Amino acid sequence: MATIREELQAAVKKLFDDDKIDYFVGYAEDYGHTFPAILTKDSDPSRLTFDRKSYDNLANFLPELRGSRVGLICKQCEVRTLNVLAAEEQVERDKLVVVGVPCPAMLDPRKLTEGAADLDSLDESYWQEKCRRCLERNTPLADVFVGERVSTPTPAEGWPLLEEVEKMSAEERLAWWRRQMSLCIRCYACRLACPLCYCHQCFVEDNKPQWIDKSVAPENNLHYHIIRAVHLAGRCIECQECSRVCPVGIPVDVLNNVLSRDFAERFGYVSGETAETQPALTRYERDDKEDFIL
Amino acid sequence: MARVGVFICWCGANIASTVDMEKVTEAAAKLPHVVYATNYKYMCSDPGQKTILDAALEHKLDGIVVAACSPRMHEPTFRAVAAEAGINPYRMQMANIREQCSWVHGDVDEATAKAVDAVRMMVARVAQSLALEPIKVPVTKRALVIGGGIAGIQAALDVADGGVETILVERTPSIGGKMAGLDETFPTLDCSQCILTPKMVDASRSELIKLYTYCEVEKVDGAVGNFKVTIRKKAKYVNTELCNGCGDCWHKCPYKKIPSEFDFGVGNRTAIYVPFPQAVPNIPVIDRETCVFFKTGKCRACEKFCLRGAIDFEQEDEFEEVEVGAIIVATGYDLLDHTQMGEFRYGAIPDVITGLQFERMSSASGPTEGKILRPSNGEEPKVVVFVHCVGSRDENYKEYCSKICCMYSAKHAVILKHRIHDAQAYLFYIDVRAGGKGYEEFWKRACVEEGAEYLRGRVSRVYDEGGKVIVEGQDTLSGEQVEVAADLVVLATAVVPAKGSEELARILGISTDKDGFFNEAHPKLRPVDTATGGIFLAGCCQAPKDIPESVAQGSAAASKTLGLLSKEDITREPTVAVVDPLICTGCWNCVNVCPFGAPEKSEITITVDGKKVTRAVSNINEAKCEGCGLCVATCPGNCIDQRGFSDDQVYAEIGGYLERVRAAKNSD
Amino acid sequence: MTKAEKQKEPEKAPQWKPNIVGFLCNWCSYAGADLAGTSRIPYPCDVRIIRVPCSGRVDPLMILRAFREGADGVLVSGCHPGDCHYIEGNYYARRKFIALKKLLDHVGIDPRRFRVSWVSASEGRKWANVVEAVTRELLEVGPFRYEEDGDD
Repeated sequence: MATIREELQAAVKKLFDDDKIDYFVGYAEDYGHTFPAILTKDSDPSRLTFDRKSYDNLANFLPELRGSRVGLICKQCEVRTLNVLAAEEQVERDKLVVVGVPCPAMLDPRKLTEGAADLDSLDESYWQEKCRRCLERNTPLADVFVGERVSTPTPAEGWPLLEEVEKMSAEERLAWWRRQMSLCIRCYACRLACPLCYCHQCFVEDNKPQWIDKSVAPENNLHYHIIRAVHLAGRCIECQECSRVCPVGIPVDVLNNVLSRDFAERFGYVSGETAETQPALTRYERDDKEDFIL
Repeated sequence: MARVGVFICWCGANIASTVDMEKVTEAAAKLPHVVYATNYKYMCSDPGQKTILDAALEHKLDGIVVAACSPRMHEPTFRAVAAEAGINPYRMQMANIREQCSWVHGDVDEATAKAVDAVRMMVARVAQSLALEPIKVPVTKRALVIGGGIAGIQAALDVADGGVETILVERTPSIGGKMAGLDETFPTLDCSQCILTPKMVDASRSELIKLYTYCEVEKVDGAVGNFKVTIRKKAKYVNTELCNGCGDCWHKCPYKKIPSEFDFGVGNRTAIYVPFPQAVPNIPVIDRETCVFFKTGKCRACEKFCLRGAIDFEQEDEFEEVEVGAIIVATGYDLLDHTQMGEFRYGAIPDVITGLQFERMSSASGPTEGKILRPSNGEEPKVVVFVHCVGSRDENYKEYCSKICCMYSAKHAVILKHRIHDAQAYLFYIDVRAGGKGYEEFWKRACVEEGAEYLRGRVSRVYDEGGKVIVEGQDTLSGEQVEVAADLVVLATAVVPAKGSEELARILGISTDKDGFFNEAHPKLRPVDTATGGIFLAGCCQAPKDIPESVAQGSAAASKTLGLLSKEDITREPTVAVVDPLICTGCWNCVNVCPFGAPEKSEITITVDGKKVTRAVSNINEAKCEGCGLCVATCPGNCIDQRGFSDDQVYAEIGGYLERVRAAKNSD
Repeated sequence: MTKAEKQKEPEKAPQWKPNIVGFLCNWCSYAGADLAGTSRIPYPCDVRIIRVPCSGRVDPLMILRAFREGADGVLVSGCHPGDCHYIEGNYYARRKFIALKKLLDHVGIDPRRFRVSWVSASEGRKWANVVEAVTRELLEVGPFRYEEDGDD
């Protein structure tokens, strides 16, 4: 990906030279890893890259940089995030420069073996689940576009892991989730990686009163994850970062997907579709469908 | 630790017969925070209250739990007792052991256990209850009345009589409302116009009443004591300063066949018009929809003939913002559209009319100058059928009783007899509801003296045949099918909220019932208030009413308004939401969901890591907060809490109950 | 719980009573429950009522807290849609409960443990019926214990 790398670096240099931005949020490569990097005018842009391991949702850094002029690389994931953040007035679109890229689909780090061959050639079986559902690989809303546009394959239907869990009986599901939750060490990496968990203080830190016990018991952990999913209801844009960063491998995003799928079916709702899309729990229709109220 | 006293009421035998008073008292005394517990036969009685006062002093109580009836019954009583005892009223809580315990559970052990739990929960709640002070807000001494019918006029007159400036907004060109169109009124048969028009004139002459006719309320901000109301002044295309109401314009208007709204289509009006000769103000308006100039750009007849140059085709709608302390809603009613009803041939028969159309015909100042005529051929009807409950008391349309129809149908029958001596009236009814002073006597008179024929039963079908309107129905008293060949059929159609009520409810932030009538705050004890502070109801917008009731409610709303506006400050319940600005992220979820616009976007400057940072944060406008707690439960960061229904209090209640359950489970 | 234990369960059932936390809005459901009282309509004794201003005040955190503290079931009751004293609180509440319900169902918590009802101030009879139904269902489901239910 030499070309995109050069184009990107040149574009970023120009943005700084033209005094369009104060910060640039992108990916840098080091020791064979790709990780997020925040550059200023004085930073060296030569480590900037964009490849199939550019996992992090860069919109996660925006609330921190609120008030500054920021350029950032946006994949489809970031674009939807930006829309949610804009609807919640956490970012000011006119202060952002969206650098569009052709997204080659991100690889699932859990499927990569040591010293894997040419990353560019890895097929769908190595992709992250979300990338199969991608609606547009070339960044919409891009102010600057680098690299060559790619075609977007027909998005895959369904939610493989969620559907697998749903095949189980209720008791089995409870047992399955209990098992998952018994692994959780409450490191809150999921919360940290989530670009839409931007509260200054999370409900789980609230101790007046302490709704959710802090001790690492499966039911406490489950409650934390359930409420987090409620707070992300109709906001989660399914970037799956929560699951990717989980050090013990809990597929946290399955809970979010339960609601993403349900809200899409029930309310015709797609989170982050536009910057005007209000979060689903802050609106209603008089005839919202439900089937459990007496 | 708090020092809580628990006072358990027997309510005579109401509670004591099902709940073991001694056991509850014993259990209460052992609870954390509780320093004193006792029971008494009637805690709300004078000696009962004294028990509380004495105990508060003796045991230095700082919190009270009264286990008795529902707080919806006696919370104000015991809050006052707490205040008298020097304890903050919001640190008094009631455990409901009557309505929700002794009255619904038969087993003494079970009911006693539930009562103990209720006390545990309330003790835990009191321990977490903060002392609260009512919120004070200064008051704008001006009132707004929406709707210039009899209820609104009466309200405006009474408020002005109390020395308070009043703005009366009416959406049609004249005040007067439905009553201005009525003929004689039941049960005294005095002429509606004769009793109403002087009031209309009073309203227009009063120095304290400002009439805003042909105007609508566009927007309402603010809250009790301080509303900001935007009024849309619809373009009249007539300069009201110059116009002297001479009438040349409407006499010259070439477009004369527009069905008059005021006459319900019985008569016609011109495109520039006053709705009726006694209109207040007597200033015409041009109806843009029907004026030929606005359609084709040609005509301007009115302009040519107006000697004072008052016609102004360039006028546009204007907006004015007014500040008021209270709002009286008196938007009245409309009739259900019978042309939607199959049994009356969807309005296809010209000789089937509504009660209000009959009124316009029989009114001496109406389009027929008081002659009752068949719309189809202009002849006098000899057989007239009056149908009660058209769309009322009918689960296919409106379940409720429209209340005024029995009486006005009887009145119509009497008027018919007076005007056409050889006419015969038939009335199809379900029951005659004549609950009012002189009402029973009046319909009896219609029946006995005026020879009106009452047929008990519903009308099943109406159709026209051979120049007559055939009315088929059942006489349930004789059990026979009845058929009347009528010249005229008058429908007592259901009273429904005035068109646009739902929109107005949204603008005002008040609720409506399932039929669209505005909801009163309490069906019995607060029939004039709405649940939104400072907004009162008068007349048919709340439920169907006759004239005396509308007038009474208008006066009642006025007295409520005067009571409110007589104060320099008003106090509001302090159970409002509070934002912790240090953790608010400014996501505006609260702003988005609040039905009252209480959370406002604001800023805070704080020091983070040694740097001054300005953050956008939410701030609750206490004057607007109604205390529903929706924002509290919506805020993802738990940045908002509600005084008096705080997270701590709810948490304590949950814990207070389930602590006992957990203990029981563990000992299993 | 093992199969053998499960089979033992019905023997215990007759003495066991569910512990139910009910969050009732002040204006409709709490008043409806009061009306059941003034109308002397009997119903099972197992719901403990917490009065809240509006069903919109009920945070899913409260519901989970009740389960965490040992409730076998939670019932939230508010005004009928369109009748909310605060105009629209129950509409927002409904969406929130749809989300929570979906999640609880997904993680395998019996749907009968979390119920919502609309009971107006004039529906004393309905309140009694709701409590009756919720209690009956919970008697079928049995006590709620994360530890045993999800034992692996």
